Amino acid sequence: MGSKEITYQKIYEENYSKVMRLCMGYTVGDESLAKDLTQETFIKVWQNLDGFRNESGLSTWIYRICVNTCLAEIRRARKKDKNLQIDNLQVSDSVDNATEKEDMLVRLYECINKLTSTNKAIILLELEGLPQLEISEIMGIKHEAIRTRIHRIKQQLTKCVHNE
Amino acid sequence: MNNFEDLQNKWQNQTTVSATDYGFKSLLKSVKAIEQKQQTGNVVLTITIIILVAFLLYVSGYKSTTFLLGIGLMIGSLVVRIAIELYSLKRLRSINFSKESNTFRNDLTSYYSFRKYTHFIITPLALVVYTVGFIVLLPLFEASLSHGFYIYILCSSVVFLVVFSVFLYKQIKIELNKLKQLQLDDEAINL
Repeated sequence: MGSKEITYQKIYEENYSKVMRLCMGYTVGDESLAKDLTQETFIKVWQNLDGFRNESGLSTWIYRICVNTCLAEIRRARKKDKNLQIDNLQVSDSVDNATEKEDMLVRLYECINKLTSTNKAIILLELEGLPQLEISEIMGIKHEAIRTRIHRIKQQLTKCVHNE
Repeated sequence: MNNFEDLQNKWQNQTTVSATDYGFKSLLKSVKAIEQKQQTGNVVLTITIIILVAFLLYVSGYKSTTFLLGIGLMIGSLVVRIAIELYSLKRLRSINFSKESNTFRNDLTSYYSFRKYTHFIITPLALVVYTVGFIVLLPLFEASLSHGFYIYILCSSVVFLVVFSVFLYKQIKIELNKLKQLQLDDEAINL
């Protein structure tokens, strides 16, 4: 393998899970579609790797590609909405409260799906625990505006998950 | 916001698929296949252009104005359509996926707006010009071909036109839906 391929493999291994989780959020838990989007994201990573200039962090750069890839695939994901494939979601927890948590996760996916694709991206990044400054860099929205927006989406989402 | 932290905790603890060696190898294969496909596409396009030019040189020897007009309209509309598709593809490929999401969305919206203009003006026009060219050629076909073969050409061209129109309609519908979705989202951003 050449040096580009070695770097690429390292990027793939270190970022696969978080990219996959973000794509799962976009596809309402449809693992097969999320895998396609993850694959598409990493293909774009390869195609743009030579142009990566470290102006933003590697993680920010990959998240941008992932969010934009998911955004470009809106139609395909929306078409699948009719058959939400969230039955097989699993939470790593003890058996006792695993079912309750899985139910809540299913509800969380359903509520995320009600958001516009931009709000969806913002809240998925927030759920991943990214700093709001990084989210604003990924989305290209001012930090102050992102903060207000996250606050609003958090309230909406929490209400929705708890059926309020 | 304890409730949200709880959701965040559940989100981060869900079981997701991890990276595998097999997955990476398969990804690398796809990446190489795409590069190969782009090269093959360029070769196919070059061959098509050579065939078209050779055909035009071949038919330019004919003195029939009707024939040259008909064939010229058909090939001309095809060339315009191919040129626009190539330009669109180039424009789509030039969209940078690593840009800020807001800029990317604007680029994508602008691309689909351009496609909308293509779909509503240039594509129907190219289809009409192609059909006119074919109709101009019909009397020549009737005079020089057997009746059976003439009927076959007539019927197959109608079938081709219908199939091609359905294909175009579906393609246009997909792209217009994407544009609509992007614009809806844009409105939500500006609220």
